[in-house]
Amino acid sequence: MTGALTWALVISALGVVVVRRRSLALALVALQSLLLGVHAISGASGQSTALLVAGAVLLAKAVLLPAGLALVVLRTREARWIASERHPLARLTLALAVALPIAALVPRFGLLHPGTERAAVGLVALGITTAVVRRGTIFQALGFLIAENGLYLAALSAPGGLPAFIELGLVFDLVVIVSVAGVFSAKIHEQLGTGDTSLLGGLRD
Amino acid sequence: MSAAAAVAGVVQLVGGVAVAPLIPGTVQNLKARLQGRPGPSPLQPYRELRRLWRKSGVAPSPRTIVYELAPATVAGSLLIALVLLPIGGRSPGWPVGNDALVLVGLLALGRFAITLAAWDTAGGFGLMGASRELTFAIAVEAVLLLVLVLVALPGGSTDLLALSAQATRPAVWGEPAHWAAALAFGLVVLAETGRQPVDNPDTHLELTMVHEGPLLEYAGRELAYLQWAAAARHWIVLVLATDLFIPHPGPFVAQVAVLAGSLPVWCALLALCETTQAKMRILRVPLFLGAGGAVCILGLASWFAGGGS
Amino acid sequence: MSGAGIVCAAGVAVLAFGALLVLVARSARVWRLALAAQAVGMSAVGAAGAAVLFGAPIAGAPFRSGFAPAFGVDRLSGFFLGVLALIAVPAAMYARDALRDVRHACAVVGLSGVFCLALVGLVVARDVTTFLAFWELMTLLPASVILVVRQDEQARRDVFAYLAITHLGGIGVWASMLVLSAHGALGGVPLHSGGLRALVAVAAIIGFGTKAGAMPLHSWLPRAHPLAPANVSALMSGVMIKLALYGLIRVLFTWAAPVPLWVGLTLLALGALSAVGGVLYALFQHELKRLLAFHSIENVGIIVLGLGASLVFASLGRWQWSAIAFAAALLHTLNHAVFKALLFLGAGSFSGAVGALELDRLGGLLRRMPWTGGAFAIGAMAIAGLPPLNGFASEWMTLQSLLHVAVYGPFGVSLAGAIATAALAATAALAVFCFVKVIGLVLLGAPRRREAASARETPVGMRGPLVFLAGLCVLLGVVPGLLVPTLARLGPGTVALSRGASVSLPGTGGLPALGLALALVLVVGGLWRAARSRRAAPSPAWACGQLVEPALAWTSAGFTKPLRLFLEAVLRPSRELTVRVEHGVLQEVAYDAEVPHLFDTLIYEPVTHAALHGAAVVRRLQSGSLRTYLLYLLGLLALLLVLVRLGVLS
Repeated sequence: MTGALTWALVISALGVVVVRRRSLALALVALQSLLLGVHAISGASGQSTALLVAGAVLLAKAVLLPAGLALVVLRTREARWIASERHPLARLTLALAVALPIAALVPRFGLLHPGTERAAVGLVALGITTAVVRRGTIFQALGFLIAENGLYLAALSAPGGLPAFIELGLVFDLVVIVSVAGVFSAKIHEQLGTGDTSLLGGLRD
Repeated sequence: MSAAAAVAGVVQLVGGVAVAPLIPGTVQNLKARLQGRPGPSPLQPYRELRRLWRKSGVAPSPRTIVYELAPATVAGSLLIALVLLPIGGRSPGWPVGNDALVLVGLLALGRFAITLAAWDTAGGFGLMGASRELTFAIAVEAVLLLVLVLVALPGGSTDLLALSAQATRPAVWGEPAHWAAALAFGLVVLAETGRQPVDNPDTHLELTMVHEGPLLEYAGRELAYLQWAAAARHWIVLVLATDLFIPHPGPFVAQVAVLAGSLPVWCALLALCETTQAKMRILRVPLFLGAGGAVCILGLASWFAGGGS
Repeated sequence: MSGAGIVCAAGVAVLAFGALLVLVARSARVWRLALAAQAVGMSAVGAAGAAVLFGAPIAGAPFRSGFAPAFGVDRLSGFFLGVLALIAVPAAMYARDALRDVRHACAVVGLSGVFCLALVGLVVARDVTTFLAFWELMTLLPASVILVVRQDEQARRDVFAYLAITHLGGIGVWASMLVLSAHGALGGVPLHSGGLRALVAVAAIIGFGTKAGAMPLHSWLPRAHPLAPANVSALMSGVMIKLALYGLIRVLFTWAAPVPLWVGLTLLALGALSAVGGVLYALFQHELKRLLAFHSIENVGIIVLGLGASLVFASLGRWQWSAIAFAAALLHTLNHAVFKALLFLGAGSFSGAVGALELDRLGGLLRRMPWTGGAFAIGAMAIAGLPPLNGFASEWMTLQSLLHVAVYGPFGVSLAGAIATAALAATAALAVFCFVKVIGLVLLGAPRRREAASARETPVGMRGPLVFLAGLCVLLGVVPGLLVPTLARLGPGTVALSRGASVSLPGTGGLPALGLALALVLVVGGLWRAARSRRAAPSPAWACGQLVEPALAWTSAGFTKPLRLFLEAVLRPSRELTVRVEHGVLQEVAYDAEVPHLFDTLIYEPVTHAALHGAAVVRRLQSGSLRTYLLYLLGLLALLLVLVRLGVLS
């Protein structure tokens, strides 16, 4: 795991905290997942196929999830900037104030390089901080994805690799999606009396 | 079973059943003499019992089996309590044992039965007497148990045979704890026999009755049982007083003689107490009895202050 | 696994089947079948427990200190399983007919089954996780049953009081169990420092004492017990509070042993306070079930007196009397379970026949419901401690133990023992007072209400368990000596007691129970026949020539008035007299009197207000915003990392 990669991941996470445009933040997160996926596949060549599969999963995640979120962003154009957002510098300071102590205090938990450990924990902290300091709803999801990437980083750097971890993470994502979809279906059913989505066309006025 | 134990058994039964009514009769006679009247003969209770035995009873209309069973239960429990008391330090081995706390339990059974009968006929005076009797019983039982603690201290046993035997040693009379127990037991005697200042046995005003209240609804043989039961209570507490607190050294015959001699002395003391004291207000009686409890606690402290053995 | 273990496991399986059967269907046949299955399962469990108690080899695992779940039955657990079965089986059979008129009967049946499972689980738990898990379950299930059956405001407030008080006290349970487990004491390693032992003892007394209902932590008991349906009340009063004492016995006698002398003296003080206070407040209640709940407090006090005496004897080195006092406490546990269950089931029958159980508005039920009334009367005589029933046997043994504490101890201990003896004697007299009043008002006299006059006897299915329990009261009173030597072996010390019908203890005159019972029956029967041979003349009640009018019937408050007046300073009764006069003519007089529960006004209510106020302050932390919660999460993470760095957590 090269230092450059870890730094790229960390800086892209910081970027998500700072940037204004949602599409830009989305692109940064997609970049993170892409970097992780490419690294997994390149590290796995010649080793177990599980790692290969994990890499493929990461790449898919780098493409599919941001694509879906991008669609959402396109559909929900905001007329103005969200007024309640803090100044970007304030956001950056807050994020650094939270993530740096946590990353510094964490004891060694068994990864190959101490720098990687700190980066992974820092990514998780930055992800949660993103969800805290940014007001837009998309950023809550992006923060969650960044934290997940941090965990994947730790999994990939564990001695021997932990490919199963990545697949479990995907399963968890799917569970979240399915449950949210379930809640929506229930709400729609409650509202309309049926789940027939063809009737949803009538919502448009 | 030795001859002495057999004689003791006979005295327990005959004395309790036949001689017991003589005690309240004697007390009435002595009281009258102290008041300057000739008074009824000491044998008057026997005449009462005979008269009642020949009369028919009464069946009040709202009643259940409790009304019929209560006098038999009172008399039965006291009859069994009679054979718990050793006479002259001996007792034939009746199957009911010789424990002091069993005696207390049997007295409680009798009290329960008669107060329950007051509820059965639901007459107001009976219930009033029942509630007062039960209120006094709280203090009486507490003080009686404290007295038993004090008398059990030297020997460590509540067996009445052992307690009676330890009173044969005059050494026990050097202990202030023993005197304290005797004083408190005197208060218990007054309460159990229903004598003044706790209760007035001669009263004809139903509002002032305590023991006699529930008896108002009975007639005939059942009333005879209840009157005999009152006499038996006298016998039991006075024989217990002799067993525990009168020094009676010597062989069995001497001890029986001491018992026979002490009973008239107790009767005289009771008569004196009744004549010199007025009836106390009902709400002060538990305090009066509680003073006996405090005396017992002082006796306990003095037992330990004196070294205790 | 030994035979007893297999039978016990099979019983638990059948019990679980009975509890879960109600999920299948909701018809009456299904839940009646479920109750029968629960009864069968509990019988098997009780039989296994009794077998282990009387000498079968110990089943399952011994206690262990780790966090691995384990189950086992040893002799003490076997005794408590037997007690549980003796109560649960009649309660289940009673409920088969009693729950017909209750809404949500199948929910009640299912929850009672799970409650029985939790009780069994607590007794057979062998490590701290299972113990605490079943402890919490045991607390929550009666609350759920009550809330299923009653949804009014009063019930919700009382259930809140129950849960709040038992959980606050339950901190003591958690603290003592976790400390014991952390130091390995559960596995048999004795605690090394006296301070730790004192801490564990105090925490255990507070925690288990609250659940057992010892004063002054008892406020929840008279609120919660009357609300549940009769079979669950019987289980709660008969068994649940005893299992709290089971936990106390385990902590003080096995795991934290030997405890210092002051622990035994504290138990004596608590026991005396609970006994006298419980029965005193019971005397002034107007409602039958609340009165019975206060009597449970009294009897828990008597059991705690026995346990305290046992600990005091153990500290003094008198092992023989320590075992005897322990046996007295266990015998009273069994006896109280039996007659309290009998009384609660009887009260349930009365309530089903008559409606509300106001004591002043019943009457005459012995004629109209002879079986139920007779069994109830026997239960009342037993709880009043009258010979020859079982209450007298265990109270006699406890009195003897306390008296011998006074005889054998040094001055301070002797004084405590003497006061405790006097307190127990006063309690016994107060209990007689109370139950004369109860039997008189409920069973005797004329009916004071239309429903009481038209009450009908309950069906056989409800009478049978009551008669069984009454017979058990008589049996345990007549042959207590068969059980006492076995019970004496469960405690500290050893004593060689002969096994016979009578209890013969050293230093006493013995309790020849069988001889006493036979003598009483024969003599009383003979005297009764002799009196009846003269025919009695039927007549109205004499009452000194007055008419016996229903309006002049005595009430519960009137009967207890002398005591209330004597203890006015302690009880602070309140009364309100309203007289309405119009145009010079008296129209109406209203009289309202009450003996307030001082513990409620002085202790419980201020503490509740403070707790609710504190909760309102803390509620401001709940903002509902996702970001605030994430901030809490980050803060906690940082704090944990700092603690790790400082070396506090490793």
